[in-house]
Amino acid sequence: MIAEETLVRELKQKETQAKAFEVLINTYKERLYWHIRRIVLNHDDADDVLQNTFIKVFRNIDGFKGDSKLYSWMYRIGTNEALTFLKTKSRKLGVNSDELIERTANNLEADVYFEGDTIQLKLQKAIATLPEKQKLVFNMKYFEEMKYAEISEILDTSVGGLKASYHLAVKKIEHYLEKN
Amino acid sequence: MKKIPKKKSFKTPEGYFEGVTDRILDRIKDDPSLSLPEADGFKVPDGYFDQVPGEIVSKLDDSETPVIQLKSYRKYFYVAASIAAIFVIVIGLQWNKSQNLSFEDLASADITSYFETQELGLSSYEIAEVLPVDDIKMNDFMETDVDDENIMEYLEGSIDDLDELNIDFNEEYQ
Repeated sequence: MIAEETLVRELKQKETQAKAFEVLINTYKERLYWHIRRIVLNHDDADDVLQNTFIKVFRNIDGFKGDSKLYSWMYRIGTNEALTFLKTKSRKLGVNSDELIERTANNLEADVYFEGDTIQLKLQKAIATLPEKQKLVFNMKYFEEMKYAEISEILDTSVGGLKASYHLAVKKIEHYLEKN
Repeated sequence: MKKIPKKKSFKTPEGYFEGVTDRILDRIKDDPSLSLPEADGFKVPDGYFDQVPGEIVSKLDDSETPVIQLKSYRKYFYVAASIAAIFVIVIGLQWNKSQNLSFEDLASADITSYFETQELGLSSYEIAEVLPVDDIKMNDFMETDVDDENIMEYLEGSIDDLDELNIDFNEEYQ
């Protein structure tokens, strides 16, 4: 796999940009897609947000200073794009983002791109009831198996705060599963 | 009053908080009625990841902004900019003489519409954390003013025994 610094350098140079961008998409498309998909839940929305994320990355690569890792920076853009997408969509529907996600989670059975069994469905419904930050932390830690230090860089939150959020999320999910 | 030492009386086994979350998860996994799945259940259309790079690249080409040649108009822009600058300075000087704009000059409707239309990225709780509450009264949050008389009328109409509320009319709260 191409080294991150080389990729960033090639992305910033006009002659090598196109090829490097293709490498960037191919390297990160799946990881970013699943990260976004778990936030927006629906495939078509995830596809929109993924494309917008890469376009934003491409447009802003000159502003990438290398203070954080490239993938952390891309994850941050992807997360913000997904949350902004949810806010815009929910405003159009006259609800808030949390209501929109709960509604989407409750309709997952009807989604052709969801093939989870009863417990997977129940887990998604439980996650949908969590506050935004806890939802993000739970997905990143549980499904994406990221380290707290990595999540901290992406969400700009202290490791202690993340551990607290994850702990609360797990407790709430446990409570939800017991009740439902 | 005797000072109570702030030192914590309770403690936890060493490393308790490091492992507690995983222990809860293990417990959920072990309990068949609560078992948490490893996978999330989502899937994608066949061949999606093969076609998405092409779609992104083509989208990028479509949205490239065309470059418009501006050079030939440059001298007119200088003239227009000079005239505009003179107007701005004159109006600015007049404006400064008459009034200084401040936050209070904004109509509350403008502020409301700003909050409704802009992407603030703040939850109600986060806004509440930075909002000073000392100068805020109940009526600031309500569309119609409610005075003491209205409150008393409501209480008389909906509470069986008003005395049960122990309202002290003459004494101020400390």
